[in-house]
This record gives sequence, structure tokens and C-alpha cells, in this order.
Amino acid sequence: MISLLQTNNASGLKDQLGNLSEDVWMLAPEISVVITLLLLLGFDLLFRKNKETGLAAIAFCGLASTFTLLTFQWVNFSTDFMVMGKLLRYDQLSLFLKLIFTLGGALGLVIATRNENRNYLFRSGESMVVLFGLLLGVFLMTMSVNLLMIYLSVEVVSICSYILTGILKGKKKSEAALKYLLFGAVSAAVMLYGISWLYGFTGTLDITSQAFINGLSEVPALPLAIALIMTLGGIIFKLGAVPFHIWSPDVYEAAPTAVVSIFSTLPKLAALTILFRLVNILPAEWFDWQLILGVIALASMIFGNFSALWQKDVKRMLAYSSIAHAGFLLVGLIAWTEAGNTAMLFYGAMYLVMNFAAFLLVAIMEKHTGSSTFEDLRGFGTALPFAGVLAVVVMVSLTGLPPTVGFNAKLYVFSAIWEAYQVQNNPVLLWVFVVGLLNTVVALFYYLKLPYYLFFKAGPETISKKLSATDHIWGTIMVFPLLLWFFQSEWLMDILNSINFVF
Amino acid sequence: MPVEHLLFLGAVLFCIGLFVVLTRKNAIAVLIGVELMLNASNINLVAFGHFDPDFLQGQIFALFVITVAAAEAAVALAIVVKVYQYFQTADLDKISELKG
Repeated sequence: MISLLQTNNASGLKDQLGNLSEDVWMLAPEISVVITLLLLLGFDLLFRKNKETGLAAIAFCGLASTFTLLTFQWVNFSTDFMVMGKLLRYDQLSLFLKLIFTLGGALGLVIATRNENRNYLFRSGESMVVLFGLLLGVFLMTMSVNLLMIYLSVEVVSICSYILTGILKGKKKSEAALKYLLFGAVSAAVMLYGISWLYGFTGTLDITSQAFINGLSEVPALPLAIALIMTLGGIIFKLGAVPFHIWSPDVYEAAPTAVVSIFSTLPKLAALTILFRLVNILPAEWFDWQLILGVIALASMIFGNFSALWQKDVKRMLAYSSIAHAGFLLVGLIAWTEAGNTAMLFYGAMYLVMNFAAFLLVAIMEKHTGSSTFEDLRGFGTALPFAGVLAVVVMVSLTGLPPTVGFNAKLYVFSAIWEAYQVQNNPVLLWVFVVGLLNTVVALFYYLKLPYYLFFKAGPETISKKLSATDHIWGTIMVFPLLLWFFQSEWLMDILNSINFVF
Repeated sequence: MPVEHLLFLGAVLFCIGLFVVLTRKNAIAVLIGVELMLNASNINLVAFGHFDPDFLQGQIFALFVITVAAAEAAVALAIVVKVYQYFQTADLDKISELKG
């Protein structure tokens, strides 16, 4: 009997190892990121000369090879797949997000080269290594379907974020890193306690398995709600929505602009994916997640928009705007229809493009004026009309007005939730719809405050009137799509519609 | 030992940890509170893992948590040292340059 068991186990293990080595090909992009990370580490240790060029070359080559691998996987995609013993899920949703994350990582590095303190990120090998660690973490977050993997990937992203906030010298940076760390550690601990109860209820960590769903259906409503809300807490923290948003304005103000542009997009979208996968398996009868996420979305929109009105610093304003955008991202999820999922993904992709464009312009402004407060940016648009106009386009797009792609994104999200309301008749959806639209009007005031300061306030004559050619080119490359996709959004929508959201 | 006792211990430990986090002003004390909360989850995981004899997922999870907690503590203490260099204190009320 015992020997029979042992042989069974041995052959099972052999099969499992065989499966794992097949799965390695599915994880080729992640392996590419890890190899880049190791090369960066080795280069940083071995070479002293031409460090900036070498690190930049390795980083961009690594991102390019990751992007190529992902494109290859996307084109040859046949069917959803569980990899690494059901720890991760290989599907089109994660592939699409990983593609735009790779692009986002590259744009973040471009922004780093545009700063007044040129190449500060490339000078220290450590921050490049940690940046790629963050990229690996967000890749894994998009694929996680196991509670252990969700916890680990969220922690990888969190720990890398703490380091990136505080690694460069500065009093404000160290303070922001400490606040970020304390909020992050507490919310991760709360999430972990929730996860431990979910494991206790179901006896499994695999959220896609039938045992998990069966286990949850047998639990009384109150303990289930407490465990699920605690688990959601850690993910909401990464999403930066109310009530776990307190860290974001401080971190955004203090951290380097390139790093902030990555913080404000990649982990948020990755957290949204985890949230999507988690609520996907919860039938509404046991746990009214639409109500809870609806309240979170409403609170984020209202709090983010109204707090942004009083900000004196552009980066801080963008931090509050990103809290509001986290609310808008949730709107598509709450609709809980095929159209809502597509709209959420469209909004996410466009939010990423808009935010990188906005932070590129902030980096250019910082380079010319040495500060990112509204007062110091007076007259910037008059001195540098081209950059000023680009900033206006980005702000209009973030508000969600035509003729920019921000309008399409908001249109899709709100039409999805309106349609969902007409079918499901859930009053939460109506509230989200109405308050969301009203919030867009509020957003208009603070987004247009920047153009007002740039063009209509007389500034000092000291602003240098010369915009470098590279800034011209990058500004055009990042802002032009916002106008182009307003007219050609079908192009992206066709790609998104081909994604199969069925779980 | 019945599993209820372990779960009760975990819940008490979690509440003590949360209380420490919310009331203490010193950054190091807050970190100690976080460690208590993490260990409360570990007790839960190991207790529940007892009913999962085939895969022992709870025990494995607890091992991962211990490792991650160590990594987090290393980063946390490095940041606290850095903050101390600039502010000459680890009192969270006095570390407030960023406002608004």
C-alpha cells in the first residue's frame, strides 16, 4: 500500500515537473524581465565607466525583447492556460496589460532622461534593478489566480515601490517613503489576515477552483463579508482608491517624476486586474461587491476631485486626480457586463497614455522652471508655446472633453454603466453614473487651472525660451495619440473586443 | 489542541497589532505592530493548514509570509534610518514636511 502510494507520488511529481518545463515558454516575457534585471545588476557591479549609457542600453534592450516576446505570444494566442500548477493564468487580458506595461516602463525611462538632473535614474544601478523588480511584480499581478501568488506579487510591487520612493537623497523623499511603507505594510497585513480566513473557509488557495466557490457558499454572510473586505483592502491600497489613498499625494509630490509616472499607472491597472479576477468568482447573492466597490468608487471620485481643487503643486494635483481616476476605473468594473469590461480596459490603457504624457510635460516644466508649483509655472506657456499647448491637450484629455481620447474613454465607461443600470436596475449603478458625470464637471476646474497659469498669468522673464529638439519630439509622440485616437478609437476597441473575458 | 483556540489567539494577536499600529507614535513601534498582525495571519494559516494534509498550502504560505516580512522589515528599517538622519527623530507626528 505504502509503496503504491510512493510510486504514484513519484510519477505525479515527474508529470508536474514535465508540465512546469512546458510552462516556462508561457513565462518567457517574465524570464526576459528577470534576465534584464540580472544583467543590470552585473553591469552595475563590474563596470565603472560609461555606467549611464550601459544601464540605459541594457534596460531598453530588455524592454524591447520583452515586448517582442509578448507580441509573439499575443499573435500566436490560442487558448487560456493555467501555468505553474495553477498559480498563474495565461490569457489575453494579462497579455494585453503586460504589453502596455512594457510600453509604460519604456516611457517612464524616457521621462527619466528628460529631467533637469539628467539621467538620475540611470546613474544608480540599484534603482534600475528595483524598477525592473516592480515591472516583474506587475506582470505577475496581472496573471495571479492564487491567493499566495496575489499576496506575493502585491508585496513585490510594494517593496520595490518603497525603495524607489526613498532611494534618492532628499528629506521629503525619505518622509514620503516612510509614510508609503507604513500604510503599505498595514494594508498588506490586513489583506493577509483576510486571505488566511478565505483559506480557512475553503481549504484551497486557488480562486478559480470549484472548491473555493463551494467553500464560500457555505459561509455565513457576515464572516464572509469581513474576510472579503479585508482582502480587498490590500488591493484597494495598490489601486490608490479611498480609503487607502492617504499615501499617494505625499509620494507623488516627493518621488522623482519618472518614478511617479510609473507608480500612478502600472500598479493601479495591475490591482484592477486582481480585483476583476476576484469579483469574477463571487456571485452577487453572497456578497454585494457592487455596492461596496460602488461606494469606494463614489468616495474616490468625490474626494479626489474636490481635494485636487485646492492644490498648489502640479504633481500633488495629479495625485488627487489619480485617486479620482481610480474611481472612474472602478466604474467599468462595477457595470459588470462585457461592454463594461472592455470599457474598463480601454479607460485603463488611455489613462496610462494620458498620465505618461502629463508627467513628461511636468518633467519638462521642472527642467525649465526648477519647480512644479503653479506659482512657479506662471508664464511658462507664453515662453514655450508648443509645450504649453501640449499641456492643454493633456489636461483636456484628463478632464474627458473632445477632441481627445479622454472623452471616448469616459463615454464608453458611462454608456456601459447606463446600459448595465437599465438591465440590472441596481440603484448603485445609477448613483455611480450621476455622481461620476457631475465629477467630470468638477474636474474641469482644476485641470484647466494649469493652462490658466501657463498662459494668462505673467511670469518672470527668466524662463529659458529654448525647448530642446528631443523634448519636442517626445512631447509630440506622447500627446499626438490622444488626438488621433479620438477619431480612430475603433482601432483599439477592435483589439479589446477580441479579448475573451470569460473565466 | 482544538482549532478554535488557535483562531482565537490569532484574532487577539491581530487586534493587539492593529491597536499598536493605530496608537503608537514611534515608527519602530508601528512596525512591531505590523509584525504582530502578520504573525496573527501566520497562526491562522498554520491552524487551517492542519485540515489540508495533502498539500499543506497553509504551512507553505506561512513560510512565504515569514520571508516577505523579513524583506519588508529590512527595507523598513533602512528607511527609518534614513528618516532619522534628516529629522533626528522617529516620531511620526514630527515627520511632517509634506502637507496639503
